[in-house]
Amino acid sequence: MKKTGTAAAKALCLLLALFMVFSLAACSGTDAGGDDEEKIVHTGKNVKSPSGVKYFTKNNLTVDMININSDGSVRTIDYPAGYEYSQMSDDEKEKWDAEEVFFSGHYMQVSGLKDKDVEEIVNEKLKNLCLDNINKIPPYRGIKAEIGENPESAKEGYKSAYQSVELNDNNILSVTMYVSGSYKSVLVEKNEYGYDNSVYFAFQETLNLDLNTGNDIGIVDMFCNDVDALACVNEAINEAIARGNGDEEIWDIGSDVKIAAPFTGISADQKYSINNSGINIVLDYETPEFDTGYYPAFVTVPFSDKVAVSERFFDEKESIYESEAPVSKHFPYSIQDAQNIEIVADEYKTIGENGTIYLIRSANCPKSVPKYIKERMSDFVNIPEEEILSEINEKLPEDANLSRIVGDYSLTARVDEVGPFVNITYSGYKYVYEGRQDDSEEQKDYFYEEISRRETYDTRLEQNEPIELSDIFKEDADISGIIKQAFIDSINKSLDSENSTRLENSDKLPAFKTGSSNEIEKLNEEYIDKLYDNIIYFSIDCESIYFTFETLPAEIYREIYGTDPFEDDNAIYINAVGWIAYDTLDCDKLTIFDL
Amino acid sequence: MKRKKLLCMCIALSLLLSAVVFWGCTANEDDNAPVDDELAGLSFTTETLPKIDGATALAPYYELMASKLLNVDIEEARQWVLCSKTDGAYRNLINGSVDIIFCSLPSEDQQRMADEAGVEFEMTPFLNGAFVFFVNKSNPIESLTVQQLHDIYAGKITNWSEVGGDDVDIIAYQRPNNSGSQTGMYHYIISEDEIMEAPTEMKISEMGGIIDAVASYENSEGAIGYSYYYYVTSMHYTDQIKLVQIDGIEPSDDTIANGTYPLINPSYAIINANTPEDSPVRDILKWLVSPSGQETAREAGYVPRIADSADEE
Repeated sequence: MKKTGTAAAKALCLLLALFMVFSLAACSGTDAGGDDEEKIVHTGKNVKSPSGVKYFTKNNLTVDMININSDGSVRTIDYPAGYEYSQMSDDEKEKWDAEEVFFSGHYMQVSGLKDKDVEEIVNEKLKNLCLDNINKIPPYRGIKAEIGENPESAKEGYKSAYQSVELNDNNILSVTMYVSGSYKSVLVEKNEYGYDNSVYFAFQETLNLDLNTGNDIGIVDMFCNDVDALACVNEAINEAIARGNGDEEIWDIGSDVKIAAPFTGISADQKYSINNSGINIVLDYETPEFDTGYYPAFVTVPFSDKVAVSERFFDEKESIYESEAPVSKHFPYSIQDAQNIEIVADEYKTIGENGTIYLIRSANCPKSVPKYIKERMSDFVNIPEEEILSEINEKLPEDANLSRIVGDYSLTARVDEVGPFVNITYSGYKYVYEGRQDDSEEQKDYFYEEISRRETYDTRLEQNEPIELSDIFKEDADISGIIKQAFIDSINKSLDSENSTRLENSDKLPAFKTGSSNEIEKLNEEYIDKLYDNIIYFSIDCESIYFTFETLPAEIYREIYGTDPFEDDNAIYINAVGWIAYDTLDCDKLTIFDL
Repeated sequence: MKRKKLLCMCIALSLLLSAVVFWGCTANEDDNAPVDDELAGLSFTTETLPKIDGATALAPYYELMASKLLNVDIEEARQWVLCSKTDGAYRNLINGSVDIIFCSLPSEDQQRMADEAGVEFEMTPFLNGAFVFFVNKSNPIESLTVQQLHDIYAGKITNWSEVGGDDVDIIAYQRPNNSGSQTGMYHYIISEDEIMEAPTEMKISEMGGIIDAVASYENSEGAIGYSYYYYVTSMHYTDQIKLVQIDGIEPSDDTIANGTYPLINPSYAIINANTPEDSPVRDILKWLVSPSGQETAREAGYVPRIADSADEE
C-alpha cells in the first residue's frame, strides 16, 4: 500500500509539474516579452561604475569637409554669397539656380588613424550617412498631409545637409548629420505659421563610432556595464518632461514639444550623439510619443559616474593615431541643473530716503558648491545698505541735489563648475545721476563704476583661498615662457583665421604685427610682455585658461602707436579678455588634469 | 511497463489540460476581438483620405484610425494626419485646410472665429472622456461639488477649511485661454466672465505642467488643478496627486463609460456643417461610432462612448 501510495503521489506530482510546464508554455506564446526581449551586449572594454568623465583626451585625427551638390557629387565651384545673388539679373540668377545655389552641404572624411582599414570603414560610414539622408523626407507626424507623397521644393527655399563633429575624443567620433529644407504645402491655406505657403523641416541623423574598430556605438555602451543604461536615459527624459512642463523657460526640449502618448521608455537603438555636455537624445519621428513638429528636439543626459565614455574605447598608453604630437585635453561642460540651484541672494529694492537708488543683488549657485564658496558670494552681494549709502554719499559732489538722486547699485555673483574647479565671477555696476524733471533737461551723471572680478577655487584642496596661476602649472614649468608663447601662438592663429575669436575685443587690441624686421619683433615682444604683466585674473574654462587684462588696450596702444584707440569710436572702457586653449599648451605641464 | 504507462498517461493528461487552458486563453482573446460591422471595411487611399487634424491628446486615436482606414502601418499613417493642436486644428478647419478635426468643444474665440468666417461646426461625440480636478495627495479633501469648484475659481472660497479641509490657502492653477483644459473649465464649472484673474505664474501653459505644479511645488499642499482624465491617468501619471470625486463620484473608466461621473467630456469629431452628405468625411463620422471605431478607442487606450451614457452637451 505504502509503495502504491508513493507511486500515486509521485505520479500526481509529475502530472502537476508537467501540467504547469505545458500550461506556461501554452500561455507564454501570447506574451509580448520572452524571446523578443532585448539582450544588452556591450562592446569595447568592460567598465564598472563609478567611472564618469573627469576630462576628455582629444583624438589626433584630421577632419576634412567635402562640399557636395544635392546628388551627393563633390562640388567644385564657388557660389555667390546671398547678397551677391540678390543683386544679380534674372538671367544670372537662373544660371545659378540651375547650379543649385539654394543647396549647401558637406560630409566629412577623416585621416590619421594607424589602421587604414578602419579609416576606410569610418569614411565610408560618414559618406553614407550623408548620401542616405541628403534627399530624405523625414517621416514626421503629419508631413505627408502637408506636402504630399512627391513634394515639390519651395521656391528659393534653401536646403542644407551638413555634418558636424559633436565629439572627437577618447577614440570616439560622434557626428551629426543635419538636413533642413522646405517644400510647397498642398493644403488650401497654411495655418498661422505658414504665411508663405511653405513647409519647413529639419532632421538629424547621428553616427557614433569606435575608432579602434570603426564599429557603431550603441547608447548602452555610453554607460557602465553594471548600469541599466536605458533606465538612466528614461529617467533623464522623464525629468526633462517634468521640468519643462513646470517651467518652459528652462525646458531644453523647447515649448513646441508636446507629449502625444505615454512615454514608456527608449530602446537600445535610440538615436543619440555625444558632446562636451553630455549624451544628447534625439526626439523626432522615431519617438512618436513626443510631437516635435517638423524639427528634432533634444534631451541631454548629463555625465555622471554611471557613464563609461572616458574608458570604454580608450587606453591612454596606446595611441591608435599616426601623429605623435602631444595629446590635448579638455573638461566636459557642466550643465547647471535649474532644479539644483541654491539662491544665496536675490533682491531688488529701493534704498535711501533721498532720491531713488535701486539695489540689485543676485547670487545663485549649484547646491553642490562648497559652503565657503557660497559664503564668498554672499559676502560680495550682501554689503550692508548703510555702507552702500555711505559710499554713494562720499562720492557725490557737494552741490548734488539729494532729492533728485537716481541710480543703480548692482552686485552679481555667479559660479561655473569645471571639473573639480569652481570659478566665481563677481560683477556689478554703480551708476548715480541726477534725475531729469523733463525731457528738455540734460541728465547730470555723478559717477559710474563697473565691478568685474574672478576667482578660481580647486575644490579638491578644501581651502578657503582662490588658487594662483602658479598652482595650475607643474613645478618645473617656465610659466611666463609658456604663457607668452601661447599668447604669440594664439594671436598668430587669430591673424590667420578670419573668424577667430581667440582674443575677444580684438578690434580694440593693437594689431600684432607679423614680419621679420627687428623693430616689429621688438614691438611684439614688448606687447606680449605687457600683456603678461597686465593679467589680473584667470579662470579655468572647459577648453582654455581664461585671462582678464587690466586697462591693457588703451595703454599698450598708446605706447606703441601713439594714439588712443578709443578716441574715435567712443568705446566704453572695459578690461580686455583673452584665453589660451589647452590645445596650444602641453597639457603634461599642467596640474589641472592630474585627476 | 506500468511505470511507463503511468508516465504516458500523465503526459497525455497534462497535454489535454494544457490544451484546454490554451484554448481558454485564445477564446478569451476572441471574446475581446472587434465585432465585425458594415463599416469595418471602410478604406481609403492616401489620395482619397480626407484631411485630418486634431488635438495632441487625441493623436493616438486618430493616428490609429488612419492606420486602419488606409490599411498601412501606424508609422506611415501618422504622416498622413496633421496634429496642429486644438487651436491650430480649429483654425485649419475654419479656413478649409482640413476636412475633419478631433478635439474638445470649441472655445468662445474659436466659435467666434468660425462665426466670422461663416463656418458652422457639426460635432459628433465619439469618445467619453472626463474633466477632472486633482489636488496634492497630502490634501485630505476627497470630494467637491460643482458649486464648490465654481466658488473656488470665482475667488469666493479661498481656504480649504471652507470646504472641509485643512486651514490652508487654496492655490487654484489655471491654463491659458484657448487651451483645451481652459475651454473645459469654462464649459463645466465657471464662465470666462466669472473666473478670477490668475497671476501669470499660476497659468500653466502645458497640460502636464499643471499636474506637476500641483504634485511637486513646495507650496503644493494647497494647490488644485484640472485637466482631462486620459491625460492625467495615461500620459502624465504621478502618484503625488489624487483625483477629486465630484459630488462623491470618483472618476474611473467605469464611471466615465457609464456616464455616472458628473463631468463627462466627450471628444468630438468636428466637420464643417456644409460638408456634402455623400462626402467620405461623413463615412468617417459613421465609422467613429460604429463597433470598429469604438474598438479602436479601446485599442488606443481611451474610454469608448457608451451609447446611453450621459451626454452633457
